[in-house]
Amino acid sequence: MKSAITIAIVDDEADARFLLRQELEKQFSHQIALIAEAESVQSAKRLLKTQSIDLLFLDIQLADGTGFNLLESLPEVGFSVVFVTAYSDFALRAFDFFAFAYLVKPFKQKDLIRVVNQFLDKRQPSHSSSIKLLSESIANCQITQVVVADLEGFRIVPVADIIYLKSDGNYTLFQLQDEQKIICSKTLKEYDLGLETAGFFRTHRSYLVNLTHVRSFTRQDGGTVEMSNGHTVPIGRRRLGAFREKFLG
Amino acid sequence: KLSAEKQQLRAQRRQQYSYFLGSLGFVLLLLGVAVALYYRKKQSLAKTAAQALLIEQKLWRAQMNPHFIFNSLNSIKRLYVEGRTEKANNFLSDFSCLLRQILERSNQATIPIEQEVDFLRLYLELEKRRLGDKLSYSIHFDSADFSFDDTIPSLLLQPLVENSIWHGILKTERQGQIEVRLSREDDCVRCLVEDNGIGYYASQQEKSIGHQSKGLTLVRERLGEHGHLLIRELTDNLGHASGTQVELTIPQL
Repeated sequence: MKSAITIAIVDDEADARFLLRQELEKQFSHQIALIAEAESVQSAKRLLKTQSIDLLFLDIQLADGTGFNLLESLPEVGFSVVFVTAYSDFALRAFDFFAFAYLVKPFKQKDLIRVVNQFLDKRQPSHSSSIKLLSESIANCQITQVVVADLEGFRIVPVADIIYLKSDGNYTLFQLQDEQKIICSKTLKEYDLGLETAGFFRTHRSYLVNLTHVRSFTRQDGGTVEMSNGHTVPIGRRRLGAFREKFLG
Repeated sequence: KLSAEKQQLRAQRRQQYSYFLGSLGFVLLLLGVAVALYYRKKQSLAKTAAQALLIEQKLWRAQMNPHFIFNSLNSIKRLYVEGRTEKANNFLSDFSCLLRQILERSNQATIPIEQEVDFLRLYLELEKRRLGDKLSYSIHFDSADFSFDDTIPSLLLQPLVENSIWHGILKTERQGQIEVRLSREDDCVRCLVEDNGIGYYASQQEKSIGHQSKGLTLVRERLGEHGHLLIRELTDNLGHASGTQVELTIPQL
């Protein structure tokens, strides 16, 4: 049997800490060695200096700063993070986009069980580079870079370099500038919502285009879009109106 | 001679026929233009309606901080978990009452002052229930000073008090105090909202994620050109920031 885990809850709302602790103790009493609590960025810093933890439940909006301020102040993130928020439209998209675990308050019991079980399966600390991408995206309310994993590893690609994404079954092809291509094993749908905030548009079931790379549009062949690299991309009949509106208002 | 007459008649008919065709074409053209204009008008009307809806939604969103809504629900959940059912029920009833008032008023431009004050009191009471000793407040309002038909833009004051709590008081270690004063002057209603939080300048520096406070811009817009919004930084004897005071002048016709 694996060793019991230590958990920290950082949230400025006492009620939120109480509810989370109570549910964790109820559901995972055998797997948990300790649950520590902190109510601000400062007190969390002090706590994490003396206490090593495996899993952190982190509220984004704290009285004396943000959860990201805390993570950035640490020399190393040696634990896995589950973000907790009462409300933030964009942040939720960004969590999904960068594949971070999160809970919304008041949380559902089954969501808590799911995120803790996911952690218990892998027991891997969060990557500080993807935390940085996430925090930048949320601060600007826009996704500016994408992590693209392929068979050999991963690449961080600036959104501006992507001309379009093409769906290929369970894979997605990234068509970049200078005729570069990356194929990754995520579906197009997983990129759709996040990249919409970065000025991408779904022209077709299998295509997501970067609007800043659109060069021209013609009604020929039921509507096609020419991209900055000369490639043409089809556009669905029912997407025509919304597409024209992006350019012609 | 007969054939000449016939020819003339035929020419006449042809002319009549072409007149008829011409005027038919003209009528059809007019009809076409009318139909086109009608659809364009209909389209633009739909667009305006959509824009109006958007403004209304903005108003509603600006009035109520989503964090307040979900944190309140969380607090209610805790009361149930702890078995303090009666407290939870009361909290839930008051919270529902607040939401209902917001829904009813977000499409009313103005409301009687007394109603606005009641709403403000309910909001502060709910925040107080969550924050406990961290917050105390007082509202100075004497309905005898006002005439029965004095009105103010609906839900105008709550965003100011919300700013005081979330961006002023919650950012300091000290116990928070909020004072609201309403008075009637010759041609206007004056309202002061004062807190002992971190002060206006410091609160502007704090960058909040997600919910940027667009509240003040909206308040200014709704006061119109004859109303005023003044923000003062309060300082203690040593010149340190000791809070924020917002003064509203709401013209009365």
